Amino acid sequence: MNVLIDIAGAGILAYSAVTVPRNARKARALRAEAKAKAPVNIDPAKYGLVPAAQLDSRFAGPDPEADAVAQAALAGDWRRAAAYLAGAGRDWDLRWYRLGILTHAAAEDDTWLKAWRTEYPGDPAAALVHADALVDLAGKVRGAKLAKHTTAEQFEGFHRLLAEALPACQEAAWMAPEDPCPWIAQISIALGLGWSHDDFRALWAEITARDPHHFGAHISALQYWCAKWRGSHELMYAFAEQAAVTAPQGSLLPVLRLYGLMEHAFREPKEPVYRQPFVQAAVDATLDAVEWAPAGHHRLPMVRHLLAEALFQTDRYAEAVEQFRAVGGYVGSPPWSYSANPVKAFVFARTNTFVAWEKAGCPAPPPRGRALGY
Amino acid sequence: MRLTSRPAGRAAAGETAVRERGVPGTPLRAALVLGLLLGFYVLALLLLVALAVLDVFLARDGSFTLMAVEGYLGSLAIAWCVVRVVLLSRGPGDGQDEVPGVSPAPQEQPELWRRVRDLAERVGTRPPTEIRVIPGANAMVREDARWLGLAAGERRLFLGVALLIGLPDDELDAVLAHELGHYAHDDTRLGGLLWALHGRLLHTTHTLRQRAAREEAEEQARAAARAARRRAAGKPPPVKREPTRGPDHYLALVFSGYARLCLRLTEAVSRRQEYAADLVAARIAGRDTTAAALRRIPVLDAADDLYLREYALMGRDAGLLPPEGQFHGGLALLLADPARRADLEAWARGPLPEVVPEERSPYDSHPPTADRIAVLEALPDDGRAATLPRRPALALLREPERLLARLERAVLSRETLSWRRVPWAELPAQTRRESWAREAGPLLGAMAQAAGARGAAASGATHLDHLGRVDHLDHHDHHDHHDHLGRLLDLVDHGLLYDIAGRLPRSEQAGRSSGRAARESARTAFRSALRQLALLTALDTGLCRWELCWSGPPLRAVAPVQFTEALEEALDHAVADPPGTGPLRALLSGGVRAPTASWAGPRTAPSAASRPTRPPAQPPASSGGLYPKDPV
Repeated sequence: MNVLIDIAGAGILAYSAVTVPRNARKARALRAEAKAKAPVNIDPAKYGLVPAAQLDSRFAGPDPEADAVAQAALAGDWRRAAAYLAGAGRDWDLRWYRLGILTHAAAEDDTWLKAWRTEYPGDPAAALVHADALVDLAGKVRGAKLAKHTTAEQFEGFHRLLAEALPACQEAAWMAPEDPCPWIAQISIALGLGWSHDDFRALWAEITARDPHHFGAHISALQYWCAKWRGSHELMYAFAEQAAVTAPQGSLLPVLRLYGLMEHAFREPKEPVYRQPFVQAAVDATLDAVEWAPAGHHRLPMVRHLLAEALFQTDRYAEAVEQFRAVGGYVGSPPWSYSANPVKAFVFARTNTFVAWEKAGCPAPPPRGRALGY
Repeated sequence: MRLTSRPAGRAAAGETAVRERGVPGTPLRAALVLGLLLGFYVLALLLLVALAVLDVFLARDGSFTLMAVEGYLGSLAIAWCVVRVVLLSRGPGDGQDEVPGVSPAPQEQPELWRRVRDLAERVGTRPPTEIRVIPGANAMVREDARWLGLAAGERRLFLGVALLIGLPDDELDAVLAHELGHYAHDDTRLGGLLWALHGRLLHTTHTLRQRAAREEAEEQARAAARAARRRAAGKPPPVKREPTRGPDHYLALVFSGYARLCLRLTEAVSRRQEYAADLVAARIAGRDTTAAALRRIPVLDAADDLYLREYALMGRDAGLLPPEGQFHGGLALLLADPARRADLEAWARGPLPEVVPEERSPYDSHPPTADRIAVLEALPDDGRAATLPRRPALALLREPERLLARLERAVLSRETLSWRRVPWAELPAQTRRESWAREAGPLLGAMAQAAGARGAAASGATHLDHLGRVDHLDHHDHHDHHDHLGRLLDLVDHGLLYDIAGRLPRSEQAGRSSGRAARESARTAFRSALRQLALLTALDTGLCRWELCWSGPPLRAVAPVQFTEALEEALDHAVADPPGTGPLRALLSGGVRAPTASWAGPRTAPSAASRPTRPPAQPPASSGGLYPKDPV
């Protein structure tokens, strides 16, 4: 019996000699891993940032006038909306931007729009809002998910509304021959109905004939050339490059390349998208464009959001800090709106940027060609 | 002992070599099967003996070590598994399973019996004591032999109804001669024994695998629970270990190996028996007729499959059946269609499918049909061409309808038998009607609610009170659908579209939206339901007809030219803002007229009771004759 006890004791000793250090090692590694995974938290107030709970995920930036107009329209005051749209004059991109505000309201509730159209049946602006609202509504009915997550019923409504929207757009275009907006509205129809490249190029020719460097049109058309719609990564980059190169000074179009990078990274999260050779130059060009743009330009907030993400991804924290400070408390813009939880995505990028920036000793951003105070 | 039940294409390699050696005699085969069955138990006992020897070897050492204890425990566990699974558990029952069918007595079907007895005499064997007609395109024989297959027993012949319907009578002779050939060679004597062997093997390996899987799942659950406990206690997850397999797993390996050996041996024998039975059939029915039957049976099998799936069970969702006796018997109608017949003939005469060597399996009980036909065609010409004219084998039956009706009652479940019988010509339309009525049901309900609410609110609007009277919705009442659609369109004209659409059941996605988007989703749902109701009305008013087509896809719609396009357009108008119900009303009421063009297929006489009488209407100027078109 003694032999048995000896053997058992020796076995237990040998077993523990092997396993105890091994388990300790594993536990240490796990703790380190958990620590690395734990969210980094900073106190936003310390850096003068808006806390996560107060971030506004509806808009890209502040625009009190637009909010007031939309509210008035929903309350039935369509005259203010008409004046707001007319106030854009021949700045076609501003008109497109303001149209978006009205369209959004009309897709929610179109009572005011019906009143407007009843009173002025021949008003090209009202026809334009009606047409674009149909497109917007179609998108809402479909939902923003990929095709495989969209039901047959959603697709049926989507296609029916798009089929209604196309003649509406054509009518609006016929009523206002100079205005590119009714044509730009058709880009979304082209996406939804899967127009061929040739058909799309014909549409694009109509738009560029009216405004060759229209910012909103380029943003929409970039979607068409994306891999997720009718194009590919190559076509998308080529389109963005062409637009950025030919854009006049002061145009914000260089940001298209960053938009394309974001699309690419979103579709293929594992690829080193931001390590491509042209990225640094594209970021620099966008920074320059932002400096050239007048303060308060209606596209600046969205450009800054895209720029902040690109700077964060390329580890240019000092410049990213500036952009994050400039966008303030709004997160309703790409790239964050692509995420299921935009606020979380935004706060993640912002927090890590500030932590990395502080680690590097809070350096000042490198000087640019033309200094502008923010 | 089936003649064939699978398309040609699989069988053992080197079959020709096997074939020349012939079939071993009955005693030898009995010894083989018996030996294999005994071998199974011997294997189990051997395992136990081996374990016992191991234990004795361990004990002889004298010293009582940890190793020895483990050895004893392990051998006990394995021995318990063997005893529990292999020796103690009962199989699925000793008897062979009953095949549902109808067994006509000799006085009920004298011609069939006479034919079988004649053939048995010519083959030189005792005729069966029971002929059982079963569904499908199979024939097989069984013998309930006694004394382990050494003494003859009661013989039973199973005959697929598709063979009776689809084969000419000389080819049926070949099939019967083949099966009787199995009797003559005493192939069926060992049937019971073989069945017992296969059942035993199958049951054992199956039980062992199940136990092994259960054990593995339990271990995984334990590991997961342990990991969860550790996580809850804040400890790192446990070290991943290789899953340990119990004795069941290894026993399953041993016994499935043995099962494979048994199947290889017994099925090789049964494949040789098929060749021998084919020779008998060729001697009795003629070489060419036998080969023709072999070619035709896979085709019949496929046709029967198609027939049952597409035609006999066409109304399964609507709970409808073809007329009595036609569930199996309708195959004759399919085979009588000239286009189908030409297709099937071309297939039967066409080149035989190549047998891919990888697809040959040593476990097949039948050689590939292509090989069997090749062997038959290599026989010397016996100068017996197919006799003309050929009669269908069904002519052997007396009152085939009664037999087919009895077969249905024996084969179909009680629930299926309770379905409504509908004449073939009305089956497509009735099936459509049922499904459309089901889909349009929620719309009619929503309409009744909306009209009721509106009628209660709007005092003095007498016509709306009238509209609200959609109390009882009987989907079989054909007059109603037209009225319902009219009333629904009235309500839409009164601006109640969104009110009705809002009451329709909403999908999960639509439920999440709000505002105008929610209204659009409701409009989409309304439009689909309205479409079903419009189609139903078109069917009821005779604007569209759904016909049975034996030659192509089973359902064929007969609708006016451009009906589909016009319907979609009219629906768009009806759900537009503001609604325009005019086009839909015009489309559904204007096109009613007698058919001007004759159409292929059996002329379907609409029963007067099922269709509303209606005044003759003028055909719209735009439409031409009837045109086969699918409006769905």
